[in-house]
Amino acid sequence: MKIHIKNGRLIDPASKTDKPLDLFIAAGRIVGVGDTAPAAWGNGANSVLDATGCIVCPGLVDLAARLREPGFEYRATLESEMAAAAAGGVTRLACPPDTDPVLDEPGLVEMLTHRARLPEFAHVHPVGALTTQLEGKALTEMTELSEAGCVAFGQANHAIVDTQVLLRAMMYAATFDFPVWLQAQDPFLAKKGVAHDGEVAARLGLAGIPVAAETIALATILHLARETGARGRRCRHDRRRARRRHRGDLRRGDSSPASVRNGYRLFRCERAARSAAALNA
Amino acid sequence: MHKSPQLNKHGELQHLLTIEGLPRDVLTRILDTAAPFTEVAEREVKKVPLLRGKSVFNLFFENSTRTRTTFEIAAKRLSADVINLNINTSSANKGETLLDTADNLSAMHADMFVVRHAASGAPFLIAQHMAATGRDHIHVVNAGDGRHAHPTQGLLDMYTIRHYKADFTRLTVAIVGDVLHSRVARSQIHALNTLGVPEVRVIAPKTLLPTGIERLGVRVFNDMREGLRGVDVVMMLRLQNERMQGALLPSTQEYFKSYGLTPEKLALAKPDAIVMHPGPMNRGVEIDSAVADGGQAVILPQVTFGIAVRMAVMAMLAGN
Repeated sequence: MKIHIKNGRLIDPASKTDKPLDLFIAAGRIVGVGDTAPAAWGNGANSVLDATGCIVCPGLVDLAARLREPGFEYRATLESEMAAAAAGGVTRLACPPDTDPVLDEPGLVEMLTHRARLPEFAHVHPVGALTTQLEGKALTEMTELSEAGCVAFGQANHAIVDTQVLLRAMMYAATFDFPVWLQAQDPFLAKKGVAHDGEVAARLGLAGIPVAAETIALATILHLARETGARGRRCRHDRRRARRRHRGDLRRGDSSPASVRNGYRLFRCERAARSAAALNA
Repeated sequence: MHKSPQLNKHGELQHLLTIEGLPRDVLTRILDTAAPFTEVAEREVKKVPLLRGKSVFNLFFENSTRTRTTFEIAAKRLSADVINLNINTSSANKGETLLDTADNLSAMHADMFVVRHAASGAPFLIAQHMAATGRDHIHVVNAGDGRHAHPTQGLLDMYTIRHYKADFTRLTVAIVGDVLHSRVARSQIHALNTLGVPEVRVIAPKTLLPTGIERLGVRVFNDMREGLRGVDVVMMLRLQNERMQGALLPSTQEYFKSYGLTPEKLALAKPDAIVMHPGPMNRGVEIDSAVADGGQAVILPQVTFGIAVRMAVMAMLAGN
């Protein structure tokens, strides 16, 4: 099957490309990039897509897609979520472990990856639980979970309160070079909070979360990561102050990437002021 | 400031959700409308037909006897049919969503919902949902949502101040107590600022003040004696016992020492200053009995004015 995608704006971050370029695909592989067809192209493609006004890029990766299976099928299913992902250009989904039941057993992970193969819209990469039931007490069988398909281990938004457990979980993961994905939020400072602690929260009468909730938790995670050598990602990074403070760590060689929840780009406090009820009711 | 969803395109009150965003003339109009209703209470037949044939549903998701009762009295004095729904004990406990409850009740031909809810913004959500589903004829009155707003309380407090002090633009007003958790305080602050009070003060320990409260247009005092100096109106707020459990305060005794209104502290305000309280009072916690029962307290008149103000609001929204 030969596909020619023409007139599009080709963006490929890996090769730092951002130009109007055509793309030539044959038998599921990219065989040419540029204005003219590659040598072995022959005469004509089976399919020509006119991408005028469109961006042509590698499939997007969603690092925290909640697929709602198992446990929350009344909200969405694998089919619906993966179709939505494909419609938005997302071809790879990493799903967090806070399903019901929690993704802390290899059997569950296998079931999920098996189910996800059927719709064929996107690839699903489960993130396994770092501790059993996400309770922050006991380690999960990370090697078994990795064999079942987990690409990393995390806690979704369930903080590990016992720092000794956190240290040992990161140490164990580091033993096998498994990446650890953690959200930096101190559970006590963030307790019951629904908005940034500031003027908007004061005005709307919403329980606020102070900036310290992120900076303190981030400091803990980064210190432990340095001690254990654990490879990781800081999830749902959303405070400028936290980034500034830890620029020092980045310079010292903490190479953990950070991801920001898309919702945070779109849904800042000011918007909350216009739709306060959406947060609570 | 974005357009208020409470006003229709003619600038008339469609819902009463929050005082924030309402223009001064709308607030004044409500107070002016309430004035003649105070005398309805003194008649032998305490009724006017303004809401005859209309159904007012009291949707109280949070317990409240006094507010619900005053709304009920106000609606009945306007000749409305009143239905009280104490949702604690019914469908919401069975897992029914807020909007499903609203939909079910509007199918029973309600004309007005009076809503009290523990979540900030719930009445706004209901009003938005009614508008989005073509049921603009159903008016929503916020009887208190989370920590956000209690507009009828704010209005009756303004009515009370106007009754005793006449001119808002010459006053210094102090709000004392747990501002952090108070929807009453937030409504009072917006109303006082909109009506032109030149100095609005809040007096509380730091643990009971929201971050950024000054941005709402108040002067912050942590020292009650400093804050009460020269004040014309003292508005007290109730202190809930739960605040001791959340590590916000050590004890009610210590709170009373620094923030309780005693005759000695009240003497620092102007000699003709009035003392207000939305009720119910915790005697010996935020207010001394000598003050509560003394000549400067106008706490009982507040209750009477509250019925008239609520009648005015309901009449303006849905009156024949």
